[in-house]
Amino acid sequence: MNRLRLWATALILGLLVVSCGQRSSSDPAAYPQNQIRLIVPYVAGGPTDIAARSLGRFMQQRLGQTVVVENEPGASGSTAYKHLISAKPDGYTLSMSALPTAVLNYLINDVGYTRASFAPVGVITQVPSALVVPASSPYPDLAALFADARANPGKVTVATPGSTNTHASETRRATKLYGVPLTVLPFNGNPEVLTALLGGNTVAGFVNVSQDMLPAIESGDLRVLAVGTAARLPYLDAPTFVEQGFPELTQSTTTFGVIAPAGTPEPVIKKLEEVMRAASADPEVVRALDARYVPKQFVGSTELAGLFERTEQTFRGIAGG
Amino acid sequence: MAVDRSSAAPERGAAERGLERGLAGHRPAGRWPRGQLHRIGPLVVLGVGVSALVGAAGLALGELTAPGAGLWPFIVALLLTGTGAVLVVVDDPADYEPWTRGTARIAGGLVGLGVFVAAFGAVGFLLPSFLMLLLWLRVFGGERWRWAIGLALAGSVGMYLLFATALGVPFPADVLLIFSRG
Amino acid sequence: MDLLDGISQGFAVALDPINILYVFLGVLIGTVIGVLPGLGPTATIALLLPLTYEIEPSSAVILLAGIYYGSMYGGTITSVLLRLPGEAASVVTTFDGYQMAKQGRAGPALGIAAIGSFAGGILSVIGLILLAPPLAKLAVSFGPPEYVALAGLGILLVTYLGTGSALKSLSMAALGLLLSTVGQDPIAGTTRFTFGQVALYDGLDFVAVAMGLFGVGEILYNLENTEKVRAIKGKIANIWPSGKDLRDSSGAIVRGSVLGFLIGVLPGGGGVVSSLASYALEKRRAKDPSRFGKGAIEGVAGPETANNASSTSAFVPLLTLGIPANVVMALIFGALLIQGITPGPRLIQEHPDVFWGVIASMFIGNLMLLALNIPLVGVFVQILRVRAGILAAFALLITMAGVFSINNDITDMWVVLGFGALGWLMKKTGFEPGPLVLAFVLGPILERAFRQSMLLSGGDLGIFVSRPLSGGIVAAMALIIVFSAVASRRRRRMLGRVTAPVTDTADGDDPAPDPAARAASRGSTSGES
Repeated sequence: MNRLRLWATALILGLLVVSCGQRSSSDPAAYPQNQIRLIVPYVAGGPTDIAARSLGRFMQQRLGQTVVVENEPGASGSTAYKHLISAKPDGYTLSMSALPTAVLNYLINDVGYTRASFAPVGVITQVPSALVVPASSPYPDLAALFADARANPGKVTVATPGSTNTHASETRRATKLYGVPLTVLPFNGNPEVLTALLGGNTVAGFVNVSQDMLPAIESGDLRVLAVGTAARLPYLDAPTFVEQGFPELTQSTTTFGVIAPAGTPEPVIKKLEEVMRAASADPEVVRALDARYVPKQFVGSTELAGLFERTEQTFRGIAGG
Repeated sequence: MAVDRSSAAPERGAAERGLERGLAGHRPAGRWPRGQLHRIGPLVVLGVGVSALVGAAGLALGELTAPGAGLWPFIVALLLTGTGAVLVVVDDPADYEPWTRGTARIAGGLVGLGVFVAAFGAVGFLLPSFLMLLLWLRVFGGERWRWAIGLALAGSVGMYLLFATALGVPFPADVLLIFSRG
Repeated sequence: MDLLDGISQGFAVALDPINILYVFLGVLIGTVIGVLPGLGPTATIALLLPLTYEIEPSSAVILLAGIYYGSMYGGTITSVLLRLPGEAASVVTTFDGYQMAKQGRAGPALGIAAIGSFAGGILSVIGLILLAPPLAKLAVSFGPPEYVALAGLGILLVTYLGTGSALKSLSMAALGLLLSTVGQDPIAGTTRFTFGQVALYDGLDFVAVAMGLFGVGEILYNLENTEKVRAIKGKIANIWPSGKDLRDSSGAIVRGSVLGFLIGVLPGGGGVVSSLASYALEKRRAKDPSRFGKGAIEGVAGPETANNASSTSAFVPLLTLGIPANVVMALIFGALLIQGITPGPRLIQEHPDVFWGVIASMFIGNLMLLALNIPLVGVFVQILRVRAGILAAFALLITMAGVFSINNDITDMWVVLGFGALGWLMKKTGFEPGPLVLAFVLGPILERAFRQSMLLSGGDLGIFVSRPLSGGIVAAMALIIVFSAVASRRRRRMLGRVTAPVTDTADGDDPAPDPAARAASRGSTSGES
């Protein structure tokens, strides 16, 4: 090509790059110098959103830059993740993320991202799940439920808040690993599952033990048959799957974390990680997030990356259902 | 839906046709739909139905007790195809309005809106909305230039203030505002 | 806790000057956003959520609740004046409300909508106070088979609503059902008809579809016929419903309140089904059903009342059981959570000030809405005096911007455009958009509930009749079909026609209406105004 043209093109391209990129300085050591965008893949008012706002306020104080929380619900988070990865990986666009849902999305469908698209920063809360039955249910414990399921395949329906989410997948894992024929009955969100349980329209339910479900449990309307964590929960008097003979069923805890687009510079990630660590120790934030769900030991970016990988391995082949 | 209702059509006798002609004065000026033109509508419906049938069949159908992803769309597409088929035969031409020169204006309007949406994604809100308002006010609304420009300006800026500033809706990066950012 | 004690405590909270301010703000904001297409109560409440951290929980809910039912009313305004339904619940209002506006009766339409909404809201609040706990129990026992029956009933009603041929309405309903399958399968999560676009994974957005079909379609249609179509010529008659209007509507209002209250309690029932049911009921009851679709005032009074009644009773599951009935309730739930209050069965005992305060402020809120909107009717009606070209241009822009603001996604704008073209084509070929849109809303409910029912029953279709609730609804549907088939046969015979055999179950044929009625019923060949 004509050398003049080459220079002209380079110059124009350069100008374009400069004019488009004026928003953020790209020096990682000086991060942050501009406002930060924190995307929430769900509707406002939900647990992710609440966590994001508390965290956002804390980050704002710590980092001295405005943190803007944006809700971008849709496609179980895929919409938000796509926006995230199309943003510049400079640390000014971050997103909340919920595992295992984020991983399940791309195991089931082609959603345009995989875990390689993300740079995990850290975990903010972890919400365990539990298998519950209505108070009027005839099953005194998990063994009885599973026995009835084996005796009458198709009878035991387990209501879940989504069709491809954590709980549905975990239920299918239970069926696959332990040969217990459980029928997943998918609903749209916790409220519908609660309705179905209270109305006697499902035998059991598998849900997050989050703030919206706890009142029903605490008031006795729901009974917990098993909890999906490795050890018993301090705030819930119920046995775990593990101690009842099902050691594999510990993958149903929802982990809420913060992620950045892949390629975000290490120093930026480290800085964000530090802020998150401080946030999870800050009493104000912990109170807003609900102390029950804040992990005692902060889970940072390396561990979160490991969690992504383990989740992917666990659910590969199950998710489709 | 096997019964052929075309036997109903000839029953609309001279009385009805006379009534229709009498109503002709209420119709917008233009040509009558010629002959079978009115079948286009149901044909399109039929076409959509059939392609949906094919698409749904491509997804797993499953059985009634264990439905696959495609079963419900298949059933619905069946209904659509069925009604479309019946309508092709049976539909009443009096429902249809003639195609006139005005149709070209509509095509123009649609294209204009399409350009607006594409431009909006590329250069933000202000410029495309100004142009779009200008187009609609001047060409389709027949307003005088001064009015059109003034209103277009007020409208695009006003909407911007309302949606982007007051309500915080994140419009795509605006080419006109890039220079004002520090 | 004594009912009277509770109510008086509630009013003490609600009449606190700061709460009066909040309820006023709420209904004001609600009305404004209801008017703006695309910007619904969901987005607004989401925006305002952080602000509610700092205020009292009862005040927060009072504000947010005000926004919610205020927006229901705001949606009516654009439905009537511009045929732009702001929400699913306002779609039914466009049928007759817009026709009334074209006849110069926009004032009475808006006026009766305000009055009806007020009456519906008040009656609903009373119902809430008296009947909340038992109703909640009943509502909760509504399981998937009942929802199938309900949605099926809705689809059935939808085919009767078209003023044209029932067959065409049915085909449009089928199209609506088909369109609602775009997106992820509700059970398996496989994507259907999305052509690879992640933006479509959640399906087509209702507001985009409705705005396109009704609003944009109408504007495009008017382009063709505009030999400088002037705005409503002549004096816009009364700004106020006449005594006759009030008398005509009174029955519709009462019936609408009851219907709206009952249906609104059902989680997921809400505005659409109740306004639909009310419209169908009024049409069935009327001595001259052919008036509907051409500006029958009952067609506005009934649905609007039902709509507002249902948005009030939607609070029942939230306040008594802690179950949010729809997205807006879920947001309000979230707002309370942030404050450390978890709505649930014990809310009435643990936080009676919140419970009763909210209820009492609904009285006040509805009163305020009425007071606010009555003078505004005159103002809004003046909008129609603006030249049609200007109105159209601005309506288009605001629709585009509004639709974008729902998901901040440009795909929605393309959807509006596409459906606008479709809406115009449909007008030209005599297909009705109403059944399409309503089936579009009911489709997902129907499919999901049907598949859940099959999972529950293990494939046994008998589950729909063996359960008392759904069996009852199915029986009602059967009755409706039989009744109208018989009635239409009788009508045909009376018109001296040879009885044609009924072709299929849902086809309670409207007797071939005479062309005059049909041409006039579409009523939007605006050349004639």
